[in-house]
Amino acid sequence: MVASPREARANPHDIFGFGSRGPAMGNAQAADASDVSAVYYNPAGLVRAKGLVLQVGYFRASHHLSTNGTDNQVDPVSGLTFGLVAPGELFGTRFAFGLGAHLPDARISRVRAFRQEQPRWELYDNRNQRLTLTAALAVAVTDWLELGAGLSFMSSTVGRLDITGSANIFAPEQSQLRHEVDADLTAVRYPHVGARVALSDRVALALVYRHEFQLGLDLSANLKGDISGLTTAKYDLATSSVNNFLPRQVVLGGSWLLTDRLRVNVDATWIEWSAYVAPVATLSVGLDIPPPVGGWPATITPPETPAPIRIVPLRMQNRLVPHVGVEWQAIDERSVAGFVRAGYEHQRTPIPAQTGSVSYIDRDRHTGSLGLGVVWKHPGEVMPGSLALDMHAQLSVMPEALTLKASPADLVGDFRAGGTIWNLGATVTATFDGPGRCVSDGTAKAPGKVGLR
Amino acid sequence: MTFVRGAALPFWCLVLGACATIGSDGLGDVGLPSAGVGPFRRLTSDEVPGIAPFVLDGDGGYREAAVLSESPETTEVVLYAGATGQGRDGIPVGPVIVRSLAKDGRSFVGTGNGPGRGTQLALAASEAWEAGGVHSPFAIRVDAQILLFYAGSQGGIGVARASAVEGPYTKDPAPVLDAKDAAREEGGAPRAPTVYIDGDTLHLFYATPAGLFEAVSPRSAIAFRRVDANPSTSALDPVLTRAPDVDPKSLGPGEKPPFDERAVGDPCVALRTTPAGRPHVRVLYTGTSLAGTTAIGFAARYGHEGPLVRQVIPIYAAKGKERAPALLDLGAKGYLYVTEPRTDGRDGVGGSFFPASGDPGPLVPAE
Repeated sequence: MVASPREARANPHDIFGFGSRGPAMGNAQAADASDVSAVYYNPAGLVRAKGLVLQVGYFRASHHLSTNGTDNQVDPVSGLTFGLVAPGELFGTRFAFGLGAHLPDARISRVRAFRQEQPRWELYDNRNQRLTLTAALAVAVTDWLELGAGLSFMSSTVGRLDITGSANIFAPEQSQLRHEVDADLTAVRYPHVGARVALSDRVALALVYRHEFQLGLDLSANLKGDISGLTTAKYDLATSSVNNFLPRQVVLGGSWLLTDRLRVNVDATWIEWSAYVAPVATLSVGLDIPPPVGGWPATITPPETPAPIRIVPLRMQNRLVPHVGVEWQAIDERSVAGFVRAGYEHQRTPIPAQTGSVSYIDRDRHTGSLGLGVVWKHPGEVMPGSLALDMHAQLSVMPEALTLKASPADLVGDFRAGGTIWNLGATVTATFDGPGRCVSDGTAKAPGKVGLR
Repeated sequence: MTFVRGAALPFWCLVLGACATIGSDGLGDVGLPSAGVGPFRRLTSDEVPGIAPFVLDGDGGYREAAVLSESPETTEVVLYAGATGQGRDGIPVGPVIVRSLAKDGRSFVGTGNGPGRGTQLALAASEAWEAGGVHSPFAIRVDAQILLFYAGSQGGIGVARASAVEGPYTKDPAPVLDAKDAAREEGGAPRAPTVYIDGDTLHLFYATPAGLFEAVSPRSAIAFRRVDANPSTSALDPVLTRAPDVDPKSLGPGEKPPFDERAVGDPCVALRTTPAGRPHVRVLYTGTSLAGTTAIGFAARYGHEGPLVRQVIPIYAAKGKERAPALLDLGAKGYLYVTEPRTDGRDGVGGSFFPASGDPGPLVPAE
């Protein structure tokens, strides 16, 4: 394991969105989100929360990605998303604090190591299956300008393994080895900022910047011990890799309330994939096994120092990802509102054709989504405010395509790859009556009807 | 108070959601694309009890194995191997070719015994050109026949035919590739035959001191003629030669010279069609380093003409003494059989499995 490359990883929201309303609308939310999901889409939107917002949801994204007709059983991404938004006012300026998290239900994190040559679904396999935590703060500078900033937290891994003792290669069961493990998960923070400009009661624009981050995985192993009384072996190994890389992103978004019941959102996300760091470990090995007096027995072949890994660079290409979402308010009764949502996004694969000795598999991704939302405006005595249930279904289609290997001696060879990803989920949002202040996004309701987006 | 009651709802949703989900082991890495030539791992003592990593060893010094699958999907295989007869159990003295059977690809009949005890005699020397020994078997089904190619003790390649695995194997009296006809560029007699079928043509790869060469024959009537891998030159070019010399000073720290810098030999060919529809001629071979260690290499070409392109990384190397590969390609999995020395210096046929993280399945002892 330690002599092998590492996979890159990121966070699940870049692929699947946050909550349910965003995924249902093609993740075109930069100028629209004002609930907990704004901690990801655009922290500036938090300030438009009409009161304390508590949100909890669950989603499951199932990969059905195959090569040569065989499902590669890429891990699903599933778990809770939850968070809160707490708005307030200070010296006449509105502000809000938001906290959002994704808690995977299968495992908090997973570290695997592969040979550089092993094929993998680079953007999906073991990349998005991880815990995320984001905190953000937003301020309404004027009635038309809102600013926000947030920090996301991840952890790097630094580990050390020491093994000492004696190894009996003639009778392995008589070996006596002691081991010590020392591992640290060190915090890594990366910022993101956003701005939202309300051009009118019905039109808003937004600009969001998400900084890149990378998590290191540094492991060292030190083995020292006696080998069957013949000699003393010493083996020092250190490996370092970028375990998790998220490229810089810039999102330009717009939201337009076409009619009182129909909203259209459009986002364009620029992703700096060209900065991507190949998930390959650098390796430093020191092996010292002096031959015993008289030389090695004929039946023993002493191990050799592993050859260094010649890293094949992965040159990804920057991509502009369009997102489109629509929301139609189908029901607008006194106590209940109902929404129908749809969206689409398209990402051309940033990974060039893998004709060489490595096989980072990816395909263009077309994602269509549908969603429903129901808002119970005045639950009565249960809670002052509103209670919303949003559901989403998101289908990503990655058309099957061939990869032709240039060298017939390639160990992977030609392959077909493609598949689908289903993302299903639901979110419950409780919005408590706040100060009842109107906001100028066209969706604000009278003070007595707070709680709607 | 109302607020507290309201806040309790999402709280309980959170708690219930958390309780409703259970952690699990990670998935992935299943059915990954592969050229079908590894990475292999040595069979374990659970998979070949008592003799791991060998699948066939015994007094015969079994070596230079070849496998013939009963069908493309099953692990029921016939293994042909060179052996040394001791004049017992109906086996003549000297180098012979025996056969054995396994239903699971690894539990071969006769393991632990000498030739004639479980393993059956397939071929013994009888012709003058064989010089008293038969070696390096390779078996292939052609139409209704099994063709068993082999080499004589002084080189040269012959063929024997049988209508069933059990034999009898009837030899063509003359070699199909005579040692006396060796081209100057070959540097010596042809050995270690391996054959694949391309429509109406049989392609024969063989080893010589100068590398691996190719000959072709009509399928209907065997008559091989040598093929130049590079017709643009006047000389007879091999399909594969040893790796070019590398100046040790040019190597980086820890970097090793090519594993096949001294010689290449013992080819084993396996044809497949890639998912893109390209014919993929794969050849495993023994690579010998300047230090004298051996490892299993891989070379291939698309289509049925021209030289093979070598993979710079050996596909299998355990102790630096593995040679003479034989591939059982079952698609998503497979076995690699190699000749390797036992601790007593005698040869045996060792086994390894692909994919390395896979399970070859339960043992199925042959009757």
